[in-house]
Amino acid sequence: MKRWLYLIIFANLGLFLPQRTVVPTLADNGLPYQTYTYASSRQQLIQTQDAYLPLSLTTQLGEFTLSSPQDVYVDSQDIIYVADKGRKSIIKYNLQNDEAIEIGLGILNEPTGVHVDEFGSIYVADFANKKAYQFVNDDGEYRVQTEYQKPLNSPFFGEEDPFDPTKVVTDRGGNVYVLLAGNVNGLAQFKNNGEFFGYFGGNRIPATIENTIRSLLFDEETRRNFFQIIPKPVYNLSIDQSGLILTSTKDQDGYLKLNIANVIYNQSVWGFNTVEDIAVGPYNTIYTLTSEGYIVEYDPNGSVLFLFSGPDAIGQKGLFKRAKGIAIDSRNNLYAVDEATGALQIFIPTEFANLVHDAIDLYFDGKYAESLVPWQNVLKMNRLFDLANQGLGDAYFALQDYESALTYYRLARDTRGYSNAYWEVRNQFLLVNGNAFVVFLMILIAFYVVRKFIPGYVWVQSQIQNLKQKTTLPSWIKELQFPFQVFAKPVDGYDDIKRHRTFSNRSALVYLIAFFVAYLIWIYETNFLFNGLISSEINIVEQVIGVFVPFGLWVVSNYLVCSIRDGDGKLSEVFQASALTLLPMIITFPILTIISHGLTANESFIYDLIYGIGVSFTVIYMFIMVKEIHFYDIKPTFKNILITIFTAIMLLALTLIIVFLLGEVYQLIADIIQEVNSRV
Amino acid sequence: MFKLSRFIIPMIVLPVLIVTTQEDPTLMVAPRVDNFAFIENQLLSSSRYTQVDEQNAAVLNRFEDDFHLQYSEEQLDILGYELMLENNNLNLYFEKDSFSLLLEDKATGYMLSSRPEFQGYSETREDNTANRNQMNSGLWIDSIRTNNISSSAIKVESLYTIADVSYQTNGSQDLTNIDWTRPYLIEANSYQHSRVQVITSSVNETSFKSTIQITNYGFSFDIIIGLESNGFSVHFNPTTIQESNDQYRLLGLQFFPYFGSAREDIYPGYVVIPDGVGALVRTNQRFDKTYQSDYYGSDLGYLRNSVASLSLPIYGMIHQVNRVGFYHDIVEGAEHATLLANFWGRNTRYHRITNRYNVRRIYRNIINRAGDGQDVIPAEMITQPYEGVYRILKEDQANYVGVAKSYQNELASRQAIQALENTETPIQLAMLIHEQEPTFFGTSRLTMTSMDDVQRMRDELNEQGIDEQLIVLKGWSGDGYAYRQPYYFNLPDRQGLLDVIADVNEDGQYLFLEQDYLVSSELSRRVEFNRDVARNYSKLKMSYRLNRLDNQPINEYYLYPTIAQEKLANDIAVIDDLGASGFAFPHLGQTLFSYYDDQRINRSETLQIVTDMAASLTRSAMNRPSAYMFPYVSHYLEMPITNSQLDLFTDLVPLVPYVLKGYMPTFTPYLNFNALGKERLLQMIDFAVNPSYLLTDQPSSALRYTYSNKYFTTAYDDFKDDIQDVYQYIANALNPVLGTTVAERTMLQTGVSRIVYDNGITLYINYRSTPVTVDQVTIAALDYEVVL
Repeated sequence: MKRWLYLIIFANLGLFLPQRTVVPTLADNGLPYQTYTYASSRQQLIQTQDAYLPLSLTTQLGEFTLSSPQDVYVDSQDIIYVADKGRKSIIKYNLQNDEAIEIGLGILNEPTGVHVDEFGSIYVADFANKKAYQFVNDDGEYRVQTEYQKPLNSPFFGEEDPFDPTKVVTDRGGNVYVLLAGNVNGLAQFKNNGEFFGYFGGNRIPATIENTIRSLLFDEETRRNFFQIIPKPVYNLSIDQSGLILTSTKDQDGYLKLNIANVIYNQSVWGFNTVEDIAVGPYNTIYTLTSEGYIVEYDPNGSVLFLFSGPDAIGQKGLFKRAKGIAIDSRNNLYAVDEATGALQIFIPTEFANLVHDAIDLYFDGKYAESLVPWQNVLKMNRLFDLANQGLGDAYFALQDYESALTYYRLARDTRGYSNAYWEVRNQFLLVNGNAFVVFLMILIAFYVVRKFIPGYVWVQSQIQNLKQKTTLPSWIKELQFPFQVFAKPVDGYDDIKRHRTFSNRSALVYLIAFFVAYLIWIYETNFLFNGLISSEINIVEQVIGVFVPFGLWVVSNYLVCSIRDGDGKLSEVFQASALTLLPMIITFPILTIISHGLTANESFIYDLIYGIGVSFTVIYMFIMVKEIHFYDIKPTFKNILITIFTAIMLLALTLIIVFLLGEVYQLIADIIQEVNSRV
Repeated sequence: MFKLSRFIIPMIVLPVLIVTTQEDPTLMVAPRVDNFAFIENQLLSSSRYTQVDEQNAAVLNRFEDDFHLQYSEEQLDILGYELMLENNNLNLYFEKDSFSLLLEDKATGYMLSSRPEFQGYSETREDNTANRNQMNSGLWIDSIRTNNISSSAIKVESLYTIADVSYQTNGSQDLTNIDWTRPYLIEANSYQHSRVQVITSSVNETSFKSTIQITNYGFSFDIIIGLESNGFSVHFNPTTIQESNDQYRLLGLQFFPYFGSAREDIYPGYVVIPDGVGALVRTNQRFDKTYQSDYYGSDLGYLRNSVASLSLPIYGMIHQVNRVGFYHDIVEGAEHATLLANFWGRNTRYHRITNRYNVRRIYRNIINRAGDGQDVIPAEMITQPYEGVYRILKEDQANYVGVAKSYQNELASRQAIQALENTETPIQLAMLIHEQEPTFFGTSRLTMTSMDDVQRMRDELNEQGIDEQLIVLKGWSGDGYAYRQPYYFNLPDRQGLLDVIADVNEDGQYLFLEQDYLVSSELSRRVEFNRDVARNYSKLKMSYRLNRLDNQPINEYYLYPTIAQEKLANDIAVIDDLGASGFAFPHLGQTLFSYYDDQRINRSETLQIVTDMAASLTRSAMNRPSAYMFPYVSHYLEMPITNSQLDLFTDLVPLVPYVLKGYMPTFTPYLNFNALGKERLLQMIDFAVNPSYLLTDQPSSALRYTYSNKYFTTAYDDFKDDIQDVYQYIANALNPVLGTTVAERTMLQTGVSRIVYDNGITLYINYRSTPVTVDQVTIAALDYEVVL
């Protein structure tokens, strides 16, 4: 015993380590970062070819040195505008000829946001001046034409309500959207002449259970002040080629795309929750920049295309110390500003990124068939690029090659596409084989009707009867058949268990294991349309624990609770009865698994119905079981079941606490030993 | 009547068509959108490429006329220099009190000084005495008080600083009446000999010894300086150190920190740093930055990590390109040295680069899981002696190619590298054989490529004329591949493997099995955590969690080098039996760490162990081996294609490839993952690096759920056409220059390079997207030309 104790202690001294990350080495293309994409089939990021190269890092734009750049924008002529807080101005820079001019000196105080409309007017949000400005180009000179400030006498703004503009965009109609810091109502909308006319794009409070309960029980005042249930303020915004506004919020993943009715049109599938800036590229792809310096590019639907860059420790090009703004020009070059180093970093797309953009361009234009070859090229460069698989699926679907579409949809785990393609394939199959199938059915029916007239049938029938009478099945098989009888007549059946011991622990164990096997087959083999789990990610140990532990807890808690509360069941009876009550699920799981391969998403109600029937049967019979085994009436049965569940949870919590505490004691001993070791 | 005219036009047009529409081998179909022309210009003039050297005549003339250092005899006397050593080419002057050195090239009269020269030139104040004392002395001591050990308490002092020297003048210069000795004149008797004393004595006719006694710290040690035919050497043996005062401990020495330093933007040259593939920092602008890196990667024994990876123990400083410069080579002791470079900025007017030799390093004694602890230094010092050699480069050797060639000659004379014998451009074909994929219970073996597939791929490529194949089998063991090394010799198809090896040997090609005894992970069956995983100086197990965004965290283990050696010893007989050419080691050549095994074992001993391991094999292929491994490496894999891209680097140069060109075949990282297209191929031709691919028979979507899913495209069927095209493209350029060394590489304009080889063949590379004509040769866009 002692030896094991020592062994365990010393063996685990090795767990004693600070979790340190090894500094990554340079990636294969010699970039200081690794590029990732999101695989919808694995619901996680995977590595991919580099999409963007860091081109240059410069603090000098023309003759101006950047001081504390806050935002960057690139207009349709590919001129770069940087809002520099330190210089108190906007720097307009032409990368091609390295010429720059400074705008807004003397007027601006803390420019934090810049935007340029299609006419070349510059809109600047100034945080310190609490205004947004519109600068128009007057023969090369820029002068202020309109100021957007806090409206007086508006029901939306009280005397003390703050008006702190941080960012600004304009849409096609010339409306100006000003993002106010900390304002939970959303973006302030102004007409181009400066007239305020409302809010747009505020976040909603998430409809979680606790929020719903609180909204039922408490009034708005209490909710706001006491519970702090206020929506989070929008942090940054952008506008895409079609005029839809995109917003990002701190502590919310990714971004939201809103339509003109202020409803969420779509959102990012995955994202960081520290987004600093968003921008939209020429192919309507969306780029977000987080404060750590990660850049994520999304396709117009919100799927992640690329994730790259990151935080900088030692001064490498391509990484950020405190990233602040991102913008894209018409050829997909990225411009990003870093406040800490005062630098403008430029990234250029690699040929791989250009290939993907080509394919996306065609795909989102609806030209699925033309996008086939580009997607194949992308797939050749990266076989795990799931967006390509999905794109190919759609392309083949458009070309009416449904079988191939099916393969690719399965690879990408695209349920919508797979369902549609499968419907087509099944349709074809039925059209081709339907006749044969119906004929076969007719034959079977005819056979059944005229069975008595078929020579030899009667003789075979009688032989089977004789066989049945002569042979007696061994007792263990009879025992295994017993649960079917229970289901025909539950009350008598459960009674039999108590009185006549017609069931045994061994058979109960067999049923339990049969349930587990059926469950495993169900989670592994069910079609992915209905199955959210990825089979290679299933951890067998977790599943074992997930099935046997709750069952064991139920049995033990039930016995304990009911024996205290005048129940009559013994532990073995509870165990046996519970095990055989799993029979409906043992039957349901294989059925579900089989039919899942034949249904499309539209027919999922069949799947859900069968599943529901199985579960309800189990629950009802469980209820009957508790009632009969313990000889309760109906109301006490309800009570006792609830108490059982509560007890089970308590048992679990108790076990976890004990394990945790033991772990702490053990850590303490390990710590002491380590310290002694190092002092000596 | 036979109308000839009908045929003339097609007869002219057709061949032209055929010639001009030759398929350009690209790894991917060209996309529809191109980038702006000025973006390309920005890219080619960024630090991802080599830049054109300074050509402004005004700048060059100014340097030549005004800033070639030359002291007359009287000036040398005034400054206190003594002619200590002399040979046919060089005079070596030495001033012992400040430990300053002057090297004069007799042929040109050019002097390299260990002091920053031309002080006071900028007519602004340069009279900070503390700074001047540091600058004007050639020996810096890093010391620490034993009762206050922390990295912020390290004192870096020069001999003048300790001797508390004060100056006669404020160091400024009257530009109408320049006297270059003014800044160095010290007040008489201001040098406290009671604190510092330097005694020189002659050892033999080519070297002399200086004994330095620093009485107020109680340090005393010897440094021997010797004269070579083209430079001088510094020898330092830590066993000569005596520490008589328990309050102070010596941490390191910097020898001649300002040797050859360049002032402001006066010197039209650059600093050469062997970071990654090679980097230059041109000394023509302010950087305000410093650079610091240990040689041979990070020493995890000290919890130290660095991104910069210096695989060669050299650095260079060119004063004027193709006129004069020098480089420094650490012959012994590089594993304990740190490269330090400071560039012109707020704190200094000079660009300087030097080494610090660390006799002791601070490490952390960690006492609990939260990582608390205190900084301590080991009581003992290292015993590995240090030898650093400075070599002068002149005329057409004064550039980074000259640095590479000179170092190459040194390595060759030490027999560290052997001359190449290839007949054709080789290609590396790595093949992933087995992996482990998760199944119901644990994992099961997945065969990505069977031995028959290997045979088939080899034969097909052989038939296409790709004869020089270097086959590296990854995951050859049934144990799988990623993170499962070191592998057992569990061969599911042993006979198949033997057949392949026999064929390979018959064809005169090479087949290596990838194996790693030094770096393992929790997934390996052959590693036992408590016995095999090394401890660092803080006595913690070297187990590091690789956190990646793709959520596949895994604990990486570093094993005791002695254990690694043991495991290798057990396997040598097996691999000899199989007949394979040897092992391919991903980490053995680049991982060097100190560790704790009942006592502190430093990097020199690890170096001995790993080189012994490599020496016990006939040959090995290694990923990015550092210089100490060169004698044992037959093939250099994963040649870096860039450096760490610090924003202070101005150029990227092929320093490491040119050191090995003509001697050891080098291979690029797998071209499967090349996102740069043609530019990468051109760079390979420019740097004379050979192609390599990773292949499997199955498509890589089968690796989706394994740890090898970072190899996202490997199917042979996808790549076989590419391999053919790319190989021909590269072989056409590199075949004529096999086995020769590089003589010269020049950037004729931004994005156009010319490489001249020692056998007279010239290669022109055009990285631009428009054709260029140089030297009466027209090179097509994104293409090369070979001129015989």
